Amino acid sequence: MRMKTSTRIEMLKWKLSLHIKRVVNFLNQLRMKKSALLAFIILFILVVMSIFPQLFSLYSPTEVVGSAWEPPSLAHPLGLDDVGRDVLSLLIYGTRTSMIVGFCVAFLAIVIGMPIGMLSAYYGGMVDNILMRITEFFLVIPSFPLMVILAFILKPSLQTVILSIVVVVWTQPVRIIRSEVLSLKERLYITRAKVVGNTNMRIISRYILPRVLPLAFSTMIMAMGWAIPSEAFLSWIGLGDPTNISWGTMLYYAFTRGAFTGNAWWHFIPPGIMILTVVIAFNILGHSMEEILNPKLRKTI
Amino acid sequence: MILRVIQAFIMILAAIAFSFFLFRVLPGDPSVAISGDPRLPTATREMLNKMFGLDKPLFEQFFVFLANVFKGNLGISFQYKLPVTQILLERLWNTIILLVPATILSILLGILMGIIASWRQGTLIDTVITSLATLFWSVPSFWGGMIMIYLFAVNIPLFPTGGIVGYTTTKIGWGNAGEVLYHLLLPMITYSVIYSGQYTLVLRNSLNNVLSEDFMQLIKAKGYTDFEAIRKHALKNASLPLITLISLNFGYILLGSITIETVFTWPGLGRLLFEAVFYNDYPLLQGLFLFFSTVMILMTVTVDILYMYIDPRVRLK
Repeated sequence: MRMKTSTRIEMLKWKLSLHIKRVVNFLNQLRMKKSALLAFIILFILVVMSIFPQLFSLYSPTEVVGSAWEPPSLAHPLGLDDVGRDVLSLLIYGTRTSMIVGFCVAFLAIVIGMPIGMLSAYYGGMVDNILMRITEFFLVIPSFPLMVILAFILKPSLQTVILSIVVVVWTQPVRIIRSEVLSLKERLYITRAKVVGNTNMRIISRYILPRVLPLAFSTMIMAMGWAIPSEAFLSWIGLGDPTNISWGTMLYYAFTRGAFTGNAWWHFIPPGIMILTVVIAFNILGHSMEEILNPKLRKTI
Repeated sequence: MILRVIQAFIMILAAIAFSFFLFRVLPGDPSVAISGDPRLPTATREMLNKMFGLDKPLFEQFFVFLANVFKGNLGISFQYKLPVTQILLERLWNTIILLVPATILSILLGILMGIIASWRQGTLIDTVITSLATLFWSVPSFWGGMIMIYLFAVNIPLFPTGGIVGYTTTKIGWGNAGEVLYHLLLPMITYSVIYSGQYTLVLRNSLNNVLSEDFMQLIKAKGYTDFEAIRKHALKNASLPLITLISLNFGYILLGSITIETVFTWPGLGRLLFEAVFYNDYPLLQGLFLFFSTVMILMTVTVDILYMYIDPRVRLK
């Protein structure tokens, strides 16, 4: 049966308006929670900063503009680092590394973890057994040493950092998605879909995936909150990309070149505060999104 | 229970295989990882090649490696020119001296803060404790350590900036116990404050949940004060999530060992990891990885078995 073109356009319009309504509704609910809104605004500014750092900083982050560890002044509000670069500009350019690593790690972790969690829970039995044994192995292997070793063996670069963090983080989405699908699959409508004769693949893609996506999204936001301090940790231990500016690298130089014994507090306090802010903001946003997208949780929290 | 032990054994084998794969296959040339250090004399290199069977095919090499691991032979450190096993055992004590008291202290601090926050639920004290705990939870521990050194060792020189004893010796014993304690205090305090955050939050949450249950109404109706009700009745019920968290936390405790020991130049296993990275010391890194993995796997199994005694619901399953 073929629909008239005008009817199809109407249908599309209606569908689109439904999506827009959903997004507006979501933003409205986000606005109701003050802390979530604040976190959202902070992260929004930081994302803009990571895309257009040149709009925010006065100096190039690689340019030597004065002598080493020059204290804060009007021209350099956060002083200079150990080779005479402007700390504020470094901080602003460092946002980019954190955001790239955070986003890539979270995205990859979901892309790997979500299918494994869904298939494992949906099929159960042997599939579940094999997939869960592998996941369990990665859960029990100490994650930070593993991360360090991977970053150490592979060539130091941004890709290596991302890969090393993904290897230890992907198990979290598996656990979260798996337990959600385990309870979903017992619902009546799934049984009904099966009885009517839908194939497994169709049930997963049509009935389970849409229900899981919001949870996957909030997990992704929280995963960014795990990935960013992990990147800082790797860079701080000296395994980051040496050509890249990041908050962790700044702390690495502050630590190895003795900024704190030289009393240069402006070199190591600001990067830490940035990491702290981002971690807290992503956690608050992730939790609030989980609450908004998953009405079941709203009662308990 | 026996099943769990067998599972753990398989896991350890898998970890050994995994680390073999990581160090031999990933960097390409296996001899680079084990004996490729240019600082080693040729005779030593050839001896190592023979010891690890690097001239044989990869599959055979794995069994040689496996046999060596079970004999406790993890190779020779590039940097220290000593057997890796020996270095690990020496450093292990330093880590235990720091981590065991610090972990216990962080749990106690977390319990105390959690009880106070829940007892004064909804008041200013609760808000302050909860915000502080969230802050501690989110602070990167290496940065927290740097701040503590800056504040209490550089600005107000109360404590040494690092090390385990003075610069004259690295050996510790009863003779210099006082000096060790003096060096121990700041890293220990830093560690316990940072790690108490999550314990506080979890205990407060689960205490609040228990307090809102029906049986607590009865206990209050019996005339108990809030504090007594928490101490005598709620705490027992609320402690299970805390125990779960503590048991799941070994990984994070290891992270703390790496970061805090590195910042405070405390010569334990965590600092050793940093040094191994710094000096490109493959055998040492591999040994550390195997050691950490084995400890983690054994801890997990122990906790699983302990759980059967603590939580009757697990026993029934």
